[in-house]
Amino acid sequence: MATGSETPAPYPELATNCVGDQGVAAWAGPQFSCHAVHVRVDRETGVARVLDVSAAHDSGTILNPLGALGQIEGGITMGIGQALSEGTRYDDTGRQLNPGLLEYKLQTAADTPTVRTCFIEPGGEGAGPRGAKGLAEAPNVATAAAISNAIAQVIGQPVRQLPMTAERVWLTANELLHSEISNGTGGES
Amino acid sequence: MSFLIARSIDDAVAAMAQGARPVAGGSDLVVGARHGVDSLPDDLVAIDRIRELAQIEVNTDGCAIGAGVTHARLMVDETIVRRYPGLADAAALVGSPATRNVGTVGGNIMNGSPAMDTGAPLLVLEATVELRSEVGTRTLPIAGLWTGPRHTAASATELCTSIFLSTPRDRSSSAYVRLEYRRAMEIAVVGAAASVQLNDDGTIAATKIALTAVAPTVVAISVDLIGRPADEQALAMVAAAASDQATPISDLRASDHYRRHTIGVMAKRAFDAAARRAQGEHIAVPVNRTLGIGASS
Amino acid sequence: MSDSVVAVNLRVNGTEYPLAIAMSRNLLGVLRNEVGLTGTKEGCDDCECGACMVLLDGQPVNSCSYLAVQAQGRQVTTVEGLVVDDKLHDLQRNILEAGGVQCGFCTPGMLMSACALLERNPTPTREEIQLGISGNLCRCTGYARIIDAIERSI
Repeated sequence: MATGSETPAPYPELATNCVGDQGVAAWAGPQFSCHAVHVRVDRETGVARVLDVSAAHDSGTILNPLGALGQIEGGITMGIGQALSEGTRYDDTGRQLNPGLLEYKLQTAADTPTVRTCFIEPGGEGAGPRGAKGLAEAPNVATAAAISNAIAQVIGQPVRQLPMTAERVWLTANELLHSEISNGTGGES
Repeated sequence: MSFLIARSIDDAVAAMAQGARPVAGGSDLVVGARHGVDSLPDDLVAIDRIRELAQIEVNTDGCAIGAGVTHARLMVDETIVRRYPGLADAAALVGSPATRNVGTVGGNIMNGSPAMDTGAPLLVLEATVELRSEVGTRTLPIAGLWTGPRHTAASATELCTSIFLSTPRDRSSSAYVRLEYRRAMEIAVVGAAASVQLNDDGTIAATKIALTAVAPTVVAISVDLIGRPADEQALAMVAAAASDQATPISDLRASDHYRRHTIGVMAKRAFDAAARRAQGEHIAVPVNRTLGIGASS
Repeated sequence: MSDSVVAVNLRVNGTEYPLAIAMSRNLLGVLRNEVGLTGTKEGCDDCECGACMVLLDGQPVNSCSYLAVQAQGRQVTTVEGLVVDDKLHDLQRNILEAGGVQCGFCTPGMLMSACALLERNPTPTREEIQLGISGNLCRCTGYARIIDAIERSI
C-alpha cells in the first residue's frame, strides 16, 4: 500500500499465488445488485420494520448455491441493522458508550424479514475463477439504501444519518431533526 | 460466606435474617455484579426451589401470585391471561425465552428498575405485596414499594413472598404496551399500562394508568375520564396527561424529548387496548405483537 | 465478591460431576473448564446473545448469568448431550444441511433454544420459531436457514 493519491499501477497479468492463472484483474470483476424492500413505519413513534426484501445479484457463476444464499440473507440482516438499529456511540474522550449487545442492537430472529433471492448469472467477461465474482459484502450495501428510500416514501423526506433510529425517523418526519442535532441529541456515528 | 438452597419460606427468611441475599433466577444479580452495580453478596440463599413461592392461587377475593412465578408462566397462565391480561402482556415482553424462563415477577419488582415491565400493570391493577421476615409478615400497596431507582421499602431481611390482585370487576380489563426498537431482547424505552372499568352504557367507570421508564420509579398518573366514553377525545386526554406528567431523562436509548412524546403514544394505546378488552374484544397477549406496536407491527 | 468454595454435584448430559467450586462462578465457566465441555460458548457474558444457552431441566437458560451452584440437583443439557450413540440429533443434521451454520459460534446455543422450543411446542409456526430463537443472536446467517432447519425438524 502506498500513501498519497495517484493512478495505481496496472494489475500484473499473471499472479500464481491465490488466484491461479486468472490474474489479479479477476478480482475487479464488477458485481451488480439490486434490492427492493417493503418497510412499515409507525408514524407516531418512527419505529420502522422491514417486512420483505427481494434481492437480485449478479455475482457471476454461483459456485456454492446454499452458501451464496446464506451470504445474501446474512448480509441483508446485517444491512437492516446498519439501517435501523446498529450504531456505535462515543463520549468526548472516544470511549464507546454502547459496548454491549443491549445498547448496540443487532437484529434478532424475530425481526428478520422474508427474503427472496435471485441470482443472475450472465456469464461472459470480467469474472474471476470459474466465472465467479464477489458476493458477501454486496447485500449489506444495497439494503440500507433501499430501506432509506422506503422510509423517505412514507414520511416524505429521507433520514440523512445511519442508523435511522426510531427517534431520527420521527424527528425527520416532524422536521425537527436539524434543531435537535444542533441541541446535541444527534451524537452518533 | 455461604450458599443455601432453601426449601421453605421459613428457611429463606432465617437465612436472610443472618444477612443472606435471596437469589431466584439470578439474572439481575449476576449480571449486576459483573457490571459493578453491586458486588455479589457473600451469603446467598437460593429461593427458586420453594414450592410456596411458585404458586398462583385463586379464590373468591382474587389471585395470589407467588413471587417465584416466572415470566414464562405468567404469560400463559389461564387465570392471568383472562383476568389480568395487562400483566401477561408485560411478562411476554421481558427479554427472551431464556430470561423469561428464569426471571420471576418477585425479582422484577424487587429489583426496582424504573424500566421493569411488570411494575406498571401491577400498579394499575392495584396489587398488594406481601413481605415476610423472621419478625413477621406485612403487606403494602405496590404503589408504596418503590422508593427510588433500584430501591424499595423492603428491608434487607424481608422476602417478597407473593403479590395479590383483587378479582376484577365486570366490564373491566387491562393492557400493557411498550416502545421497543426490535421485537425481542428489548428493554422498555418507555412503556405504559392501563386498567379500564366501563359502565353498562360504555362510559368509563374507573381507569388507572401507569408509566414505565419515564421517572425514577414506575409511576401512576392521574387523568379524569370518569363518565366519558372511551373515544378519540379520551385517548387524546390520556396521551396528553402521560406526556405532561412524565419526567423522563435522556440516555443512550432515547432523548427526554422523544420519551415525552412516545410515552403519550404508548399510554393512549394501552388505554385503547384495555378499553376494548373491557368491552369484550379479544386482543391476544401480548398487545405489542397483536396490534403491532413499536417494532411489532 | 465471595470466593467461598461449595461442593456441588452437577449432572450434565446424564453424567454426575462432583465438583468443588467457588460460589460466584457462573455455570458457563464451570461447564467449559471443570466439566470440560467446550461446546457451550461464551459470547457477550451479559445475557444478551444466547451463545451460552444450555437446558436446565429442559428449559433454556443463559449459563453466563446463572450461578453454577444453583444447578445442583438439576439436569443440565449442553450441545454435546444432543448426540446419542455418535449420531447427530435431527436439529444438528438439519442445521448443517439447510446451511444454517456459517461461523458456527451461535450454533450450540441456537440448537438448545430450538430443542426447548420443539419440546414445548412440537408444531411451531414460522413466527413462533422466530420468537422461540429470538434470544440467540447470529451475525452471519440472517437466521433464514436456521429457521428452515427447525421447520425441517418438526
